[in-house]
Order: sequence, then C-alpha cells, then structure tokens
Amino acid sequence: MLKIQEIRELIQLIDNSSIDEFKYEQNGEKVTLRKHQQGGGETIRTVQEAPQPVQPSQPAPQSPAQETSSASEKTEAEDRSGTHAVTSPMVGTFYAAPSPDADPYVTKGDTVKQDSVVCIVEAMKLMNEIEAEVNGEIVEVLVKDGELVEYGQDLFLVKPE
Amino acid sequence: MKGEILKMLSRAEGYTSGEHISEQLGISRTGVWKHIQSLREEGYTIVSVRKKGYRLEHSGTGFSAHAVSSKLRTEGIHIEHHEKIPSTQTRAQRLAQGGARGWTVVTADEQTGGRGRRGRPWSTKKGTALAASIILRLDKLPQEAAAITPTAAVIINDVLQRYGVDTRIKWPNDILAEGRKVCGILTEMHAEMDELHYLIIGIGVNVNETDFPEEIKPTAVSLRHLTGQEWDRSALLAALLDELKKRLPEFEENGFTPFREDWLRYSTVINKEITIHQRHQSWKGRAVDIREDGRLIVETETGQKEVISGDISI
Repeated sequence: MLKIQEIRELIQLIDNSSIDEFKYEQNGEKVTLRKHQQGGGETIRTVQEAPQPVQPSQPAPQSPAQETSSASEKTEAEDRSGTHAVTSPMVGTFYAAPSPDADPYVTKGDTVKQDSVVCIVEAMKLMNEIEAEVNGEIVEVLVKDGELVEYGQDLFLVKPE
Repeated sequence: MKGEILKMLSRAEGYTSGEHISEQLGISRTGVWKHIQSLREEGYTIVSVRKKGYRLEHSGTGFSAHAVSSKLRTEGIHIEHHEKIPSTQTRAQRLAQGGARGWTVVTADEQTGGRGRRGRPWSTKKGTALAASIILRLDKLPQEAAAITPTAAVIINDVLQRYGVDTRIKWPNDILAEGRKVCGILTEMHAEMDELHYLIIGIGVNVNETDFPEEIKPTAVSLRHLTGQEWDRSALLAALLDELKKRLPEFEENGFTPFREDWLRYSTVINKEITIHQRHQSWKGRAVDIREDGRLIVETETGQKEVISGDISI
C-alpha cells in the first residue's frame, strides 16, 4: 500500500507536470489522481481502494491487469484531433505481435490500410484480429504487449490519409 | 446432391430404386446413376440390382463431405471437405469474409499449416486427426462472445463422454484424457464494436494417431490409444456438429451460465494448485471457480484474481 508521504510526493510531481490523470494499481489497490483544470481552481482527487488485505512483504504475482498504464494516460493529453482511434470490442489481453518473439503487427509510423491487422485481443482463447478501420498512418500505439484492455479502450491512433 | 443420395441410401433398409431417388430429389435417372458412380469412386460400395435399385454396402470410414453429411441428423450444416489444405481455419475465414452462411464447416484430411493458439503450428497428419472449422453467425455482442470457448469445451466433452472416453476440461480450451490433450479448441472472431460478424470455432481432435512427433508426445493422446480401436472420423464429426448445433442456441440465449455447472464438474483445474503462464510472466495460485463470462477465479496470497488469458500447468 502506498504511504501518505509517497502519495504526497506523487501529487506534487503530477501537479508540476503536464499529466492530467494518473492511475496506479497493484495488488487490488487502486490510486487515481486527476487534475480538473476548468473553473479556475485545481482539484486533485485521490481514491484509494484496498478490497483485500494486502501483505506488503509478499511480492505479488503480476497479471496484465495490474500493470500501470501511465504511458497511455500521458498520450491522452496530447492532441488527438484529426486522428481515428482504434478501439477494443471486448475485454481481453492485447497482443502487439503474433508471438512473443515475432515482430509487432504495426509500429508507430507504419502505413496501414483499413483491413490491415494491427493487433490481437484475446480472451479465453478467442482471438480477435483488430483491423485499422481507416487507411492512414499509425501515429500512436497506446497499449503495451500483454496488457489487459477494457471494452471500448483506445488501442491505436491512426491519422487518416 | 451426392450427400442427399448417400443419406437416402444409408437410411434405407434394403434397396432404393433409382426411380424413387430421381423423384425425391428432382433429378433424372441418368443423373442419379452419375452421382452413384461418383460415390463409388470415393470408395463407397453401392450394389445395384436390376429392378430393385441401389443399396449401400457399408457406409465407409473414409473422411469426406458426403460421409459426414450422410451421418448428420441435423439440417442446415454444409460441409466443405479438402483432402489437403494449409489450414481449415484460414479457409473458413476466407469463406466467411465472402459471405458464407453460418454452419458452413471446413474439414480436411491433412493440414499442412494448421494454426494453434498464438500462431503455433498445429499439424494434422493425413488420415488420422479430425480438423474442422465451423463458421457461426450468432446473435451476440462481441464482448459476450469469448465464453463460447468454455461452452464448446463442455459440449465436445459431453460427446466424447457419451462415446465412453473419460475426458476432462482444462481451462480454457483443451480437453484432456489421462492428463494428456485429446482435443484443442481455438476460436477466431471478426467484429466491430457492437456487431459480431462471425465466429470461427476450430476443433482439432487426435483420433487415430498411433504415434506423435517427439515434441508433443508427452502431452498428447489419441482416441485410438485411449480405446484401443480405430475411430470413424466422419461419424465423430457428425456427432460433434449435431450436438453443437443443438446446444449453441442455448449459449446464444443465455451465455455460458447454463453450461457452468457441467464445466465445474469436468474441470481439471478447480481446487488445484496451478501455474498460469502469460506472455510476459508466470504466477501461481489455486483455481477456485469460473465466472459466468468464462474467466477463471484464482486465489493467491494477495487475494483473488480473475484470469482472462493464459496457459495453465497443474
């Protein structure tokens, strides 16, 4: 569990950064820090949930669900106008490549056609090949290989031709 | 048409007249004769006696579209069989993209580039295994579709049990006997956010293998090895398709829920200490339950986790 001091430090760091939202999750404990910039004043909301008792000394097995997604959160703040977001139609694991040692289907800067396969989302061995949906260029890969994605989550940003 | 003739002959007791066949199917007597000739070329022994008609000597253990069709009890299943094909799954995808209707089934006697999970090769040696890819067009939302894998596992497990094979289900998609894999299921989906275009269930069953390649020997077993006899693949496939066709509407209506109790009864992982192997990590826990959406619930030292992906070792 995060200590108060650590949270205080996080708030300060985020305060001075361009990050709008920060999420942290480990062992079922969640922390969300969000900046609301409209209305003049700045509010920081802290939510800490710990549904199960946590033994701090035990190194927790990491499942994809528990990896932080701060990298993708950061990009959300960037300008997305004029891009098409490829979203996941189901909850599952995001695979950027057909196998762990294979090259990814696409990387940033690649040109794609609307039926180009950009990744696989898998759940219970149901494989869903996700297509780019538009002709254009991959300008952002928002999820890392092996990460859990939610229904409707943005996976890629494509700049249409 | 050949399938229809074969069906008539296999259902008939004694002889069926050419005249009767031509009336029933609306084809000429010469047409009937041509189809009979073609069936004979495929290996069916059809006896013809003047003024009596045709009689099927034995239904043949060959694996062909007609052999499967003639043994199906359900209507509306279309079989496309290949002697040799790179992958039934890829072929089914192409057919589905071209608008093939649901319950179109691609089978093969030999697969040269079969695909297993995550692009791993799944080889099908000529004349031994059962490989089939079923196109389904279900009235389901994409996010509800993943539970079809454990559902299909329950249905396939039931069919094998009925044949007297003591099979068990390993989360999420394998069917085991004597702790080794006898059947694997792989499903592929083509969907948009709120629209499921089609699903393709790929089923691979080890049927008449007497030996396996070195790398899968310790983990694979065939029905022939388990029962000590040779199996008729077309009869087994017909039984599997009949059962899936009968019970998948229940999945379409109510999801995995009606299948969950059976799944728990036949599961190899429940109440076992397991290791879950995921792409970038492996971890241990105790499998305790399965959710109604098919996720496995695993108890760990730091609490309960829901598993949506991974391979399990016990």
